[in-house]
Amino acid sequence: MILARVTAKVTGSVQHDSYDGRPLYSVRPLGPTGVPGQASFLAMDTVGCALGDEVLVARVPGMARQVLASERAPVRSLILGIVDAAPA
Amino acid sequence: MNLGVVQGVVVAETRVVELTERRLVLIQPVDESGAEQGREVVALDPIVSAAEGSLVWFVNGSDATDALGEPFQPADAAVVGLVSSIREAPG
Repeated sequence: MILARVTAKVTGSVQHDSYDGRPLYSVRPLGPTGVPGQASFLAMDTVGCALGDEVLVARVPGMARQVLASERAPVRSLILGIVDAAPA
Repeated sequence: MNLGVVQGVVVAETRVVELTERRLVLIQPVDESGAEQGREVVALDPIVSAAEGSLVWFVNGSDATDALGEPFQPADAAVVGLVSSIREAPG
């Protein structure tokens, strides 16, 4: 898992069924100094995060299938926690 | 999962039989502000039929074959959503 900042909420009009009813956010990985650095990517929220939150994100093939209880869901990145405190 | 802008349709008259019915689009990956990030990719577009200039999101690797369903489709990128709005965090 990595630490990332929630930078935008993304809403779709036409989408794969796996994305129906689940919030999608753009997140940016946090560097060692806590500054958003690397390229952003999209992640599906499972915990109810908000814009600007620091979150735990995991990118593991197959894990979304477990968490979403759906076979063959094309979802790899999941927001799994909202960070209250982390070492600087 | 990444955001991208559709650059146009890729035409390839000769291709493997599994992909003959599938729409191919060229995608420029972008960030939440629309800034380009990374190299262009060719993706299958089985759901959205996105027009040129559309903002979409797409998946890579085994997620692409998951998105395409059965029968198995030999592809490593697929468009899975058409973006209707993006709200950025303040600041």
